[in-house]
Amino acid sequence: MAEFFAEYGSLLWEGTLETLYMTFVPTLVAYLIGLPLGVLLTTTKSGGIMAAPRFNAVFGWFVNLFRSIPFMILIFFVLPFTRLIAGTSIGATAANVPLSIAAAPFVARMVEQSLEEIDAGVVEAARCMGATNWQIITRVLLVESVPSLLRGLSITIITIFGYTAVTGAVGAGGLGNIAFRFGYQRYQSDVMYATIVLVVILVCIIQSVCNLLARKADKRNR
Amino acid sequence: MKKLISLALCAVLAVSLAACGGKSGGYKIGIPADATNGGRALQLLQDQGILTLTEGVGLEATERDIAENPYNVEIVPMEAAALPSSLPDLDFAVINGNYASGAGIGDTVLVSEDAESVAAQTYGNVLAVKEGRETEPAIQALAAVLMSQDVQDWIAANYNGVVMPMGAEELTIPEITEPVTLKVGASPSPHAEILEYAAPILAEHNVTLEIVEFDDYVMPNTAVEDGSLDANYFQHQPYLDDFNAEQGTHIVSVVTPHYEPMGIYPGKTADLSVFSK
Repeated sequence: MAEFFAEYGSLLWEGTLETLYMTFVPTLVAYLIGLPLGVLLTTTKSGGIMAAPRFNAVFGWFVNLFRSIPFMILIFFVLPFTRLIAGTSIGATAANVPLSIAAAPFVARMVEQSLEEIDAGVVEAARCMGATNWQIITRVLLVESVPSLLRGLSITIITIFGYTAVTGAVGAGGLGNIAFRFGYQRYQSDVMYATIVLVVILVCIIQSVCNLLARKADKRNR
Repeated sequence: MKKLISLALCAVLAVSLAACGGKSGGYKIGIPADATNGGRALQLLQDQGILTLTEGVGLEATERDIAENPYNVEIVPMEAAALPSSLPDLDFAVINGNYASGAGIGDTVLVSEDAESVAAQTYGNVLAVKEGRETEPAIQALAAVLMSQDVQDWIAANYNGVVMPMGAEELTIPEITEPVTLKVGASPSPHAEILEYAAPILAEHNVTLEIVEFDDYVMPNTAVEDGSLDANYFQHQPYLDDFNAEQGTHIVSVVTPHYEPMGIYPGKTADLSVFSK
């Protein structure tokens, strides 16, 4: 055991940091882009507060377009853009660009789903009290859906966490890449098991923290 | 509570940021991440005196097997096919000839494996057929033409060193009276191109060559096994051995017309003289 950690400890530690870096930075960026997109998707639906069905159809199609590109292809497809933003196309920092691009439409759909759950009566009540669209979005829709948004957050983080396994293709490292290169390709099963244990622990922590936050934020009696 | 958690998240971010930003070494050299190509690349770097590997690691070395790194190079293992497009962000990259020629940078190669190197001997590309068919006259004719001085010279002249001939061999072309058509599966470049050059020569010997291009590395073998192809020309011997072992197929190599040397290609740094100090 001690021997194993002496040999692979630094590799695994570095991989863990790279994975966390490639998980949280894209999550942040994806929410900055995806949250407004999700709001737009919900509110422009027919029957929504800013109903614009045609725009919604085109926009929904656009979101689907980006969601449908396989992530591995997306990485190479946006390479020039990555270089423009990150200054390089290799390494963990560069990988954050395609990760964010892949996650943003995903987040948009997660947010849409959360906002859809809100009772139309609540929105109606706000409208009756003279709330503007902006007020309805910021004071009603987003506030009321916080518990659901937080649950969506955990799904998003863990999805991006899974995506990071692929970014080894552009030299980004990370736990998934270590498991693939050393565990799978070179049959070092001890490395494979160690990474799996680490990944499971990290995912559990992420899920528990999000669950805890969601429970705290939930005003409904359960 | 929220503050605590956001603080913790920030701390995680900061630590990982610092860790990822802080490990900038000297020259960045990209190598393929997969087991055999990665090891081959490191061997070539060792042959060039850029680094030293632990003794006895052979062709399956990883960046963890580097024993001495006098120039403090940073090895960036990544997807083999992505290396050419990543050159602007690397100082050098060790790239397989086929990817380099596919990306149109074949002629920029600084140095590549020679025909005598272990790697070239091991990874020469073979013409393969189903076991038992290697003695058929048409197959013999194809093998002989591929190894002829004419074709070997053509290979040497047309690929700027990205694809190298194994060296001409005098094989006899059997007499074929009835016209025969051979269906041969091949990768688009260079295999299909070499076959296209060989086709008119074979036609003189009553063999019509039908070339079927594949982008995939499984289909050509399964097709040879089930007889829908007469031969294929796309793989090296270790791959074929692996394939036979895993899929239970019986495919054998006939001749080894060429090898595709790995080469060191320039990225941000133009030549290898930086490693001579």
